[in-house]
Amino acid sequence: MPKFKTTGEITKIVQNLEQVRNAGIIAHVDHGKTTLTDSLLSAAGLLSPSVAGQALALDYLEEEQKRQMTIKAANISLYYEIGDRPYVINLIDTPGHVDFTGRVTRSLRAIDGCMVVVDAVEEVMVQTETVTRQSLEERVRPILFINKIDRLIKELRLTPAQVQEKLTRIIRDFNNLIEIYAEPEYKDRWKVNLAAGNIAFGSAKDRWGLTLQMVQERGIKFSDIVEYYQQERVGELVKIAPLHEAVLPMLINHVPLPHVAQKYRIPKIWKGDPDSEVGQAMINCDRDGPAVMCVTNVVVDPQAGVVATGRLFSGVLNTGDVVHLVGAKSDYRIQQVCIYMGQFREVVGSLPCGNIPALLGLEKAKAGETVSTFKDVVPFEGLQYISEPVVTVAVEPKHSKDLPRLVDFLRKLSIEDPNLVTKINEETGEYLISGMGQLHLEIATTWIQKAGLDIITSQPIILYRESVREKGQVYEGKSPNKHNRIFVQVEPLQTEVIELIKKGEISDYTDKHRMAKTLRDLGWDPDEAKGVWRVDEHGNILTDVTKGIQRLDVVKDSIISAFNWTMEEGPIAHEIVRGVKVSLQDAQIHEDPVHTGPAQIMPATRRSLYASFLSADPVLLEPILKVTVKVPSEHVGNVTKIIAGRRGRILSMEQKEYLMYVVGEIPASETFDLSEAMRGSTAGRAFWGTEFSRWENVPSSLIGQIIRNIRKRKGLPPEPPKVSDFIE
Amino acid sequence: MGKLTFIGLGLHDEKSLSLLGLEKAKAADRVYAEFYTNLMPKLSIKALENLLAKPVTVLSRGDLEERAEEGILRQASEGEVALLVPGDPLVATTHIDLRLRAERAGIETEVLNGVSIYSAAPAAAGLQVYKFGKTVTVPFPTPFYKPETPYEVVVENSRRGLHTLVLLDVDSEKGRCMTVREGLEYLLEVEEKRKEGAVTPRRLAVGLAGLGSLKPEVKGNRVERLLETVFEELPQCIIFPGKLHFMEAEALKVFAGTPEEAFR
Repeated sequence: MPKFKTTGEITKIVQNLEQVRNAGIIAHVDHGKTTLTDSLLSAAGLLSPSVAGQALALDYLEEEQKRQMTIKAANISLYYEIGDRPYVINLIDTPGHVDFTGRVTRSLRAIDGCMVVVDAVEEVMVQTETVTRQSLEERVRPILFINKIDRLIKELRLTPAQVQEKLTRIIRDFNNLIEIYAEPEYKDRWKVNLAAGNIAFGSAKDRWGLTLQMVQERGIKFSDIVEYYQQERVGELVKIAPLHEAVLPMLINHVPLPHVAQKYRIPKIWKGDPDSEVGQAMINCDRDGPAVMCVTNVVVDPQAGVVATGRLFSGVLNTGDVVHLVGAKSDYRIQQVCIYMGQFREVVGSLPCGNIPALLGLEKAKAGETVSTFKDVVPFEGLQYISEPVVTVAVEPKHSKDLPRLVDFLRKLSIEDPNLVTKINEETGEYLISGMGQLHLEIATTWIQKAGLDIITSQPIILYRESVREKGQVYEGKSPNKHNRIFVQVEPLQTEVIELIKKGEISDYTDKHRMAKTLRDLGWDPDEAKGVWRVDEHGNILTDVTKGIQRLDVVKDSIISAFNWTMEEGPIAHEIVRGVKVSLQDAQIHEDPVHTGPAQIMPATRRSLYASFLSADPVLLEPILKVTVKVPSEHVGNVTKIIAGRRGRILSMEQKEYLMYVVGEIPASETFDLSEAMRGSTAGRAFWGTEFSRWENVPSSLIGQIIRNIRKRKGLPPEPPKVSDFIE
Repeated sequence: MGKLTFIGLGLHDEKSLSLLGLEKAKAADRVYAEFYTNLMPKLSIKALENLLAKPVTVLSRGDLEERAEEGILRQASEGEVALLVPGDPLVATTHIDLRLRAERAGIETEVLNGVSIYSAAPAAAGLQVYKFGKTVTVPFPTPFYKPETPYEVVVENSRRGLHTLVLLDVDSEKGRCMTVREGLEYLLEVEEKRKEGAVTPRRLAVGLAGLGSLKPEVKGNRVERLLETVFEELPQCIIFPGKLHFMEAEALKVFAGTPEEAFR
């Protein structure tokens, strides 16, 4: 039975951070995250007075069941009492599939601990590894829930001893991940073990769960559990071991307190100076400091408009406060500050740091945005994406009258899931959606269809990258009026630097001295290192190595804009550029500002950049996916054949029990029929998943045709341009 | 061999063309004109065509800057081509590149001067051309481009006691000319930021409009008063006087109606 608490009571509780936990549930796809969340919500949900006001608790539950608990809430707050002490647990939504890894990372920023759900049948899978690694990278403490024990008994018919053996192995594998990925000081402290009470196991579907403490206190044995199932008396098991009694105390006892966690998390997840005033305010979770909030989720509510949910790290936010959106570079007045009651929002007017507010009225907010009352705060992203969009589909409405609705819906989609990039191709009039993988796009198109829009979807298109392998020559780029000349040089950016950019270690917001030092340590020339003008999210850098150029300040913004424009569409096939260092070598700028506007300087810069790029041994990169398969030994030959037959290679094969673990790599362009092939040749007995691994040069035997295909699709002449097309 | 003749159109309407320019344009095989450096709102193409007794083709910035080789220069390599340009054709640096390219391509070039803002403006205000410093143009500001150069030029000239001629941008695509008021607001905004005292509300400035016509508007006053002054004609420009010779001060009073208190 859900507890009934008023919003006022909850607001009072969350003032004391000892009674607040911010957590998440993360898992490999299908390991039971949603079922677990739903079970907890119905057992320990908080009733929203606005819902419960008219309807009684039971109606409310029915309403939920009607919706099959699939309501997508950014946060769900749960209420639980240990002894007399009330606690509020915020469960932040973390998308399940690895195709959404970017969103998982962002959600992690808001939480201090996470419960990793592992399917007892499939055990630790590739995405378990990914999400656990990401948690540790954000200093989010993981605890373990082993789910689907029912399947071990009912489907695999394991004996109590075998069940125990399996649990032991999962715990060992899980601790092994912590050993590999945790920073040294957390390796031992954060390992899980049954005695410490940070492991639970059970069945989210059947709504029971146990910790070692419960097993001991309530005198339950493994053989009892097996018996309950064999005798179809699961109902009794649920009574003596309700799921939420195992999980909620575990979250309360093992998820670090908000203000305690911020002390060691802020220096890791925030790139600003920890000794600055803002840094100290966040580290100390200081209510008197400036308000700084990291938005982790934005939805467009039909009634309320844009709703931005996230973690408030310092200060207090009040309805009516004017806040600065760092990414959007604009100021907004907060129309309402809300708290989550269950999965519903309730207006509270004010919330202190350490909590998860939902803010209304921030029109331009996007997930990842940093919201603050302090204008010059260093933002949180630095999108620390491990995955990048690699696949695109074009969509068009079946009935042209639906076009305005489709456009509107696409806009909402990209607000709600910033890893979905939606774009209109001006030349062809196509609407393009790009995502992290096939499944990600399938889900997006399903959403569109669910909204009642009939659409036609194109074949998926792979997104390539353009890069260079050598240092290019310096070419002069002239402005259209011929009165300005820009000289840039293009060369490959070191892999280490690309990694730093991808991890958000260096970005436009990095302190200039720190960036210069980092780059010098990596062997950069001191002038290059201190001249950095722009670091873009695709992994490219623009740096100024000129000295004493007249009027350079007047054209700096135009040169940067031209750099951005060019990095979005490289010369070979107008694909995104990756891993390139562009250095401004010289510039000759006309005396009068009316001759040096963007319309003159941008084309000049682009010409020089394109020419130098083409002289730098340009190359096309394709996305390579890592594929992990668990398959019974008798089918392993078919699996390796499928991988090898798709320009793939096998990285490792390992026998575990009766299953073979195969890890391999396949270019994303070869994965479109992978599901079918995998199912067909293993009689559906392979568990498998893919995730983005890396970028790799397109083989020279294919590159010509691929370039021609992309250019044709984009309405460009079939052959890429030559250096001479850009210089005179 | 062909020939390209640059002919200055002067500042106001088709009648500002010189007699020699008229003769040369009449004799040319093709006549082109451009109005993106100065819209010359009072000039009528129809009247110009009647005057020349031949059609005039108006070229855009792109035609002259980016597509000259396949357009005007090809014509000029085959026959005699006249290009009518507002003001004095090579004074505002824009067309020097075209002349260079023509000469490099073996096309003979000729330049017929016209009345230029560079002499018209100082003369109208009664200021001595010897005492002008660098000239500068105020561009239409955009969110991405709002250089402070115009302000810096006024600062630099003022420090040396020199006058500054400030030209105002033309947006040929939108058919817009910047006004004295817009130009002053631009500079005042930079002053707010830089606070170097070069363009304050109390500083003396001269607004000019309709130069080259029979009724030029020339008004000297404090910046704050000039902001409220209405100028009818386009294009317009501004002069920030530096240290004044007694003749210049007298001229500003008589020709530009500058009130006594504006000198203080």
